[in-house]
Amino acid sequence: MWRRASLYIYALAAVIYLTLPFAWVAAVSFMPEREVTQQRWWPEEPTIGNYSLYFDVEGQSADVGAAIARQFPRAIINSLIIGSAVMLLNLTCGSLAAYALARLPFRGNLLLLLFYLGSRSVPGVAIMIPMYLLMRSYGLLDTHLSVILSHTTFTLPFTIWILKGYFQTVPLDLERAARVDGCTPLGALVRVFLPVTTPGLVAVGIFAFIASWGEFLFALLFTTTIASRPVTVLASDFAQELQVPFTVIAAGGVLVILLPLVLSFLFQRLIIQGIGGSVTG
Amino acid sequence: MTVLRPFHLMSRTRDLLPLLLNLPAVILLLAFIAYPIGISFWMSLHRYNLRRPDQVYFHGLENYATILASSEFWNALWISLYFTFMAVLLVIVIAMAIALLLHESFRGRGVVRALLLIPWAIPGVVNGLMWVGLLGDYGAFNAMLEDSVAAVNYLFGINIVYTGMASPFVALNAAIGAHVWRSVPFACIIFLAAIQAIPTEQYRAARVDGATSWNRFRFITLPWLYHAVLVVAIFETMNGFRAFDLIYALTGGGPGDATHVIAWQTYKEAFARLDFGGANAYSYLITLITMTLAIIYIRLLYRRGLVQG
Amino acid sequence: MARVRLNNLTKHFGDVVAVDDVSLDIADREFLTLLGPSGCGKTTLLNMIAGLESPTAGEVWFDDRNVTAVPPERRDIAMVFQTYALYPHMHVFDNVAFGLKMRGVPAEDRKKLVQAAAKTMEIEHLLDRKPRALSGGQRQRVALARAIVRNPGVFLLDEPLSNLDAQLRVVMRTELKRLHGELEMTFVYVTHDQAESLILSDRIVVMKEGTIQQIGTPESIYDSPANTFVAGFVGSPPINLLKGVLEQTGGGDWRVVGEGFSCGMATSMVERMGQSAGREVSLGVRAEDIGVGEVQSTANSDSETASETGGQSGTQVRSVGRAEVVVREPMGSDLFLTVDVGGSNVKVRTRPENRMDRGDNVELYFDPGKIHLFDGESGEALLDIR
Repeated sequence: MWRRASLYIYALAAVIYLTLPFAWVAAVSFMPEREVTQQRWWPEEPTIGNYSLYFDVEGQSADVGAAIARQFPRAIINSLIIGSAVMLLNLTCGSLAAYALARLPFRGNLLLLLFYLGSRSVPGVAIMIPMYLLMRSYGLLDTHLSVILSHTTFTLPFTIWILKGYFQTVPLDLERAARVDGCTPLGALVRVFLPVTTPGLVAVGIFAFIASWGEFLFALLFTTTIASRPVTVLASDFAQELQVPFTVIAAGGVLVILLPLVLSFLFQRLIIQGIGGSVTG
Repeated sequence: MTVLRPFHLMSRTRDLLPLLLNLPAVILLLAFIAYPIGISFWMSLHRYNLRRPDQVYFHGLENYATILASSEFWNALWISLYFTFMAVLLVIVIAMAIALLLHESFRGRGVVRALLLIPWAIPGVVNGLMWVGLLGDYGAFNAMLEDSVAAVNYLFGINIVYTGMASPFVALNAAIGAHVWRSVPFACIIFLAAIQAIPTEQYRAARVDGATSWNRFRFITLPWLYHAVLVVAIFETMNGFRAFDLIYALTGGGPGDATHVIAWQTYKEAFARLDFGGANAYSYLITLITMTLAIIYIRLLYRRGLVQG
Repeated sequence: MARVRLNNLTKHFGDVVAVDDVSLDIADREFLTLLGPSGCGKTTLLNMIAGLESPTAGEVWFDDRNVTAVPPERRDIAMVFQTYALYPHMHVFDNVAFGLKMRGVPAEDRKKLVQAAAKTMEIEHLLDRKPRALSGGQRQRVALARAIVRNPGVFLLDEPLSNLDAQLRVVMRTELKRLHGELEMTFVYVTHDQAESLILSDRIVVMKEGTIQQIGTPESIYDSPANTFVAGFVGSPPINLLKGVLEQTGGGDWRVVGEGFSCGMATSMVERMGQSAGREVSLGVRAEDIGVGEVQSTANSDSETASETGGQSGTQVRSVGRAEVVVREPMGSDLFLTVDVGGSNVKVRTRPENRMDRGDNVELYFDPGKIHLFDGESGEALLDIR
């Protein structure tokens, strides 16, 4: 009984730790500006006024921060384009490489694995200048492509690592059985291997998408206008403008977080199992 | 015999096919990681300031000499080391505590597990903005901190002046706290998987041998988690030295140079001073430091593996 | 229906020779077992018959068709795997129907065939479940149904019973034998369990380190092992092997003499063998071919008769030596005694009424018609005594 009780107190503490910071920001996003100055935890008179700035398409509002807020929908679309492309590139390049590493014994696979691990340990700041110059010389600055390519290279080694581990948990006999049952090598891949590994693919896909959505340094360097700026970069403008009320910033923050949050809720089981098992396995 | 050809082709190209499958990934990484790393090193040996594009010339290790002689570098390095050390330590402790909780079975465990990913899903920049609010003048956490400082002052009859994020000490540790908060879920996922892999017979055997719950944690759980702890330590060390977006949004390096972590310093060097040569030398030093740490960790991992083997 | 012929099949994995120059002729509808310890190449050989591994050298023929380079999907085979390899994302029905679907069998026919196979394997009630909801034995049945539904010419089984618990294994063993009787297929069965191979097979191929040690019916493998490896691997408990030397006594009789024993044998046998005195041999004798008797107070090691409790009653048997009981293991219908003969342990099967126990001194009698002699060096059989 005592044990139970202490366990629930423990669990409550964990829940508060994990949720309170975000919960407060979410609450603030519904507060009128004066309430936040009263250091409240909960909006007395909830309002969606803070959000309306973000959907002010005609550009009527002259409030501080409205100029940034107005660009949000466009920036979210940019982030969606970039994130989806990064996810697709990760899944195609990553699963091909991981399949070879997990299934086809060949000379040099250890070398390749080390190459992938090594490239993951290169910090972003270490290559930001050459990358910037590279993108500039190819005329890719302020395009989605430059951000997509850089995000893909950062997420790909991890994707390959995780997928290789995941693929290795699938018994080889399944594909053999499919061959005996009449599948060609490609048929066994499509009809048996891919369906069986779908959970792992979904997990790394979501992972890559969320990582791309949240990446900041390269997005900041490569994009200059709303034609390509993802939403994280746009949100960082709030850090530069001192006069924007925090209620407005909070609403923006909630908008930025919404999609990754929903995705991580929907796929939490897959992510926790897929990532956790493969990293330690 | 025409039917047989494809199969023969397959077996003859046994080594070629896997290489082919790796090709897209390898090309991407060579083009956007290996090549830039090489260029970065080459540039670090040059004088290359965008303000004076006409004066680009080779001057060997001079950039490195300048950096190693500058107090800014040592300040940034020291801050980054403190930042990373504290972050790694706290992430491991907090993530382990939550992972152990999630391994217990209780009603509502599913809810806790669903909430676990919240901090991870929040982009670093937004995380920074969030904590600006939380620790700002009207922030909920700021109020709590003010109250607790006041309480401490009252209880001990002392007079600590709490100045919030204007205080270098508070700013740096707040940055660490925010960074840790966001890093906990990933580490927790790894720990949870490792804990779940421990055979339950081990605990039963230990119970039979009369081990207390602390001893079971100390002598079974921890040794089994050694590998996972090292993996998390590697990840978090790299993350710690990379911390940039949070600093950008939360403190902007301030107050003063209190949160000039080395990644921030490098960014400043490159895009504020436009000294690309110097910035590349900076980034090379960061790479060197993280690589050295990674090698130490991997050696630890390897040695442990041999012992257990 | 298919006859399977393997001509000089060889498989290398890097420097490792997994299968070394194996030739076999498997008759249509035969039940052939590949028997051997793990790593002997039996599974690799099976995979080459299936087409899942391509041989380094040699050919595989199905009837008069050379299938060496034909991929598995175009060979007329079905296979059951040790891990069953049921497709986890498909229901049992789809698992069983998958092979038919891949071969373009129309949906209505598929349904009928699956129903029939499910009936044979008694899994009709499981068809709408997912594999993970099945017990080990049920999975096994589904795997078998998936294999037989296509009515292939060759049915390959890779240790199909080894993941089942002991009781279920016995049930499924009987089931397999029934299937072989009902279906007109050639069965190639891989196992490391010698009892399974003896019970199920028409013929057994005993393998070791990639080579065939002996091919024969269960009876011939058991009664006339070709070498000490086969003798030791087939039969439970394993055959007793004793080191000794061929000697001729003053009277002209031949015998094998070793540490603590002396086993006489007919001159004619030795002549047929054509071996000279002094040759080192291994004497093999199975537990059930050894008699054990209490030591007579007046008896010496050459005593003509003794109170004999095993072996051939009624005939005159010579004691081969004295021994001391080390372990007594009653097994219900039988009693096994481990006795010490000059430092070697010898297992003896006797009747459960026998009261001998640890520390008792006993006399041993080997049935002269059932002993096996192997070359002391190579381990090859010297003579088929019978």
